[in-house]
Amino acid sequence: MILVLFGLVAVLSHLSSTTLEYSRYNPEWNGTSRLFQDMIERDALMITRFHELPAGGDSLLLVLAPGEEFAPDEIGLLRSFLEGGNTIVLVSDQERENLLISGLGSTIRIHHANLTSIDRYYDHPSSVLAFPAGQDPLGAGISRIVLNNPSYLEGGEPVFASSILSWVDADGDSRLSREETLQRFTVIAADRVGDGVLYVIADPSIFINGMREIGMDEGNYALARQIISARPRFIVEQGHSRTAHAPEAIRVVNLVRESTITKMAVITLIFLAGSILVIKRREET
Amino acid sequence: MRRIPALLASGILILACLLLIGLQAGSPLLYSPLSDPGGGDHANPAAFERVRGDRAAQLLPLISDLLDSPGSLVLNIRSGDFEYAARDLQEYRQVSRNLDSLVINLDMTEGEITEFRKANQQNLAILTELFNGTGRWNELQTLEIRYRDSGDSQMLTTITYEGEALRRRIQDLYRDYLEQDQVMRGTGEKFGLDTTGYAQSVVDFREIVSRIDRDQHEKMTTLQTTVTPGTRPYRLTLGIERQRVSYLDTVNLEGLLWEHRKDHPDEVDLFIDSRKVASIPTKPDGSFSYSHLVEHDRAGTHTVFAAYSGSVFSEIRTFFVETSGTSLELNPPSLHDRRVGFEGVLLAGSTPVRFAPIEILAEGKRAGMAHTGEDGTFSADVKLSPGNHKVNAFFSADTFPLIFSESATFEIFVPEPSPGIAGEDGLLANPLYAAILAASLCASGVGAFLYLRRQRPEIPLPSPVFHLPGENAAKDSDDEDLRLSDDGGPVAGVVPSAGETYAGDTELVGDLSCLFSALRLAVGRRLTLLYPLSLTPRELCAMCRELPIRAAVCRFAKSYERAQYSGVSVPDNERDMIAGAARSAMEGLGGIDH
Amino acid sequence: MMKKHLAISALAGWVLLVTGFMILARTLDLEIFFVLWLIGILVIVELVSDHAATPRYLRFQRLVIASGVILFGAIVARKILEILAR
Repeated sequence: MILVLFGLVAVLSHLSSTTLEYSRYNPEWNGTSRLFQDMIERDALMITRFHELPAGGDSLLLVLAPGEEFAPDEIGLLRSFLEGGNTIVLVSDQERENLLISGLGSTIRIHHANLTSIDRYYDHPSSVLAFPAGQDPLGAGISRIVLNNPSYLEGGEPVFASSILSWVDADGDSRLSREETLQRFTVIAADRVGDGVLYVIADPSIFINGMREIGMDEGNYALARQIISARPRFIVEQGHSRTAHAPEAIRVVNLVRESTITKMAVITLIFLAGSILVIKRREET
Repeated sequence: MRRIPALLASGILILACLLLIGLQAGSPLLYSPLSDPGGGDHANPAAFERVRGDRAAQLLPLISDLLDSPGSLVLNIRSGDFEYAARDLQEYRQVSRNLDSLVINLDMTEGEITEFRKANQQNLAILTELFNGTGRWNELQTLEIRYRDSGDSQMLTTITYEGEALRRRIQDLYRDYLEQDQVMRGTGEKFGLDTTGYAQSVVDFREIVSRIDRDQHEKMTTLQTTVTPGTRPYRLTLGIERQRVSYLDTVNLEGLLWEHRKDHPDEVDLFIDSRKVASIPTKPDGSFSYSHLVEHDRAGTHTVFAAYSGSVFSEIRTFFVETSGTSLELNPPSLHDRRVGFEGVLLAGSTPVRFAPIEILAEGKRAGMAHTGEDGTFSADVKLSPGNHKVNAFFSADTFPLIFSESATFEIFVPEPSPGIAGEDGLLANPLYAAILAASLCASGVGAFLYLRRQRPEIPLPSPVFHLPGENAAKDSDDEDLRLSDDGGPVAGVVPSAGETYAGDTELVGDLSCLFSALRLAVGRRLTLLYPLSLTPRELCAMCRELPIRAAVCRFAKSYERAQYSGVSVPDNERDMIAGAARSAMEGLGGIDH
Repeated sequence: MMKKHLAISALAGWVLLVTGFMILARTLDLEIFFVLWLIGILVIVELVSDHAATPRYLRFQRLVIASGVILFGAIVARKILEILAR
């Protein structure tokens, strides 16, 4: 009986999860399930199309790890949203997003590169530390964040930057070679567009489950919290983002799992089974 | 009936499980963070260890220290505080060593930091020599005063010559020190560090050099005025054939000792950089020659002079050693049995470089060492960890007037050694491995055998609460047997002994059980049973099915059971019948026995 | 009958515990799992069988354990070789 229960739980959790990178249904180290748990607790609004963007200037839109390009009309919608006094946080390390950024009227550019540093959290070249630069409220109270294979940014106001002991490891030998120079690199930049602010974060990996487990005192978790609660309304883009990627079956299972009716049904069932057991015991004695 | 499908299903499941496990037996590690390192976007942080200590935070203060140290050291040398200078030098050396180990720890053996480190090492060498040189210079100053006071013009000349060599050396040092300036100050400014201390050290250094220049010039002029060649009985000249030489060139020194006695060969001492290198016998005409091979001489100006019997000096000559470039050729490395063979040759122009240390680097870290031979070739056998390696050779040219050189880089793949136990050739080829395997398997086999054959410790049987008659019978069963079969008395031998202990109604039951015990014992002996005492009447009957007395035994067993367990007293006729059955069974047994 | 069921559920519980800890440590290693299973079954068989008598369903278990011990020897040999080859 207990074994069967075990098996059922295992099968259910297997069916409702995936191993796709960045997916919100991926509870492994490379998923974003825990970030989305936080977002759902904060009553985040999930949108798949930009027509659904609310009017008013009090929202923050998070575009986390887009998997595909944005259409021109979408960029237009986003731009008017941004200029209306809202905030957009774009998290990507792909140069493809430069089209979107320039379409939004910002001068920030993403450079896809193998940024590494001596200032590391883990003993691995991918684990680069970044420190606040400038006085932006997004970096307030955070001493440092841990990146994971970051790219770097140019333009805009630096919000977080790597230390001076950082370099772009062009030849991939993870060592400082003769041609590679030490330099400070911006990894989070801000730019004012109209009345709104665009933030670009050059490393989506800082929000994966594995990076969050680094500890509550570390900046990654604080940064996520800061983004979620920066503006009164928090919106998460789910049309392009790789966090929404999942096989259809998993989506259905999760939809069922998350809906209130099924939760109530499960609770009722559990109580029913319990009471039947108790009654049977009574009859036996 | 319902069990068969269940058995079948579980059997299939077990087989499937064993099959699945068997498929994995080759690599028993099913999952670990190391096997899931992540893709291009990110690496799995669970697979890494935290950085121990804040190594990066040490780097900048260290560089700052290294920029400051020369300042106070040179200042102390300049002001003649040699005690403080010695302490400064000690600290400077320590900090430099810290930087060396940190650079290796941080895997920064190339690039800007390394440029800085090399410049700093040069500086350390330069300042150490400056410290020693100025120390000697000060000694010469005191000696000069003493010799001048005592009027010892020979010694005065010696130390003046030594001072001249020292002056040139310190000038060279200053030139070298200036060469490091750009790297040192550039790095410091890049990291936003204060470089004024370092700049001050350059100024102080120049001050030292010009002071020594001034003093030496003074001494040379006084020497020329006090010691005039004309007053000397002997004169010594020295000439150098080539002024500019490079690695493995010979410096030919030729000289002439004037007015020496023909019958008596003299010896002339030759000094290079104030160090005596040879004593050369003069030829009959007073000439002498010496060839100096430039091998471990540093690049720069070197001074030469000759002296005869400590009193006659030649003029000071100089030669200049030029640095020459080197080329380090490395043949494609050969792989044999997890070791990588490196071969190559080190040339300076077209001259082979002899006895030079060659470092073999894998990923920029030292993996092995080799020395070049007479012909400049070297070979090394280096053990590398499995995997891909970028290897090259490096010649650092520490004590040579040569420029360091690096060979081309080769990629080499060292295959994973075949672990595993499934009889690979490499495994069984090595007798040690085979022996370990065999020993381990034998030990485990013995362990398994011992486990199967293990006797559990015997627990003594609990002593009986009361004494059963059957056990009495068991003790003297031999005579009992005889008596039973001999006189045919049914219970004659046993009943009295039982009768003594039990009285009344139990006597009959005792009778019967005695009979049963005796019979059981007899049958047990006949069938050589191990534990006859554990048999029940029915089992006894079943045991006897091969024997002719089966009928009698079974009849006895049946009636015995009825009599024993029915709970009612046994009628006399039945008792007789039981006794008769027992007797006939005993007779049957006895007949065969005897 | 009770004893038999108790033994089986104890073994199952032990194995599940080991699996659970392996998942928590994020390392699934069949070798470690096998050794821990062997220890578990050894202890349980010893506890279940009396001094005087061994239940019939445990006769077969002794053979299983014996082969397990041999396999354990093989694993130890393999580990030693791995360390030596390093």
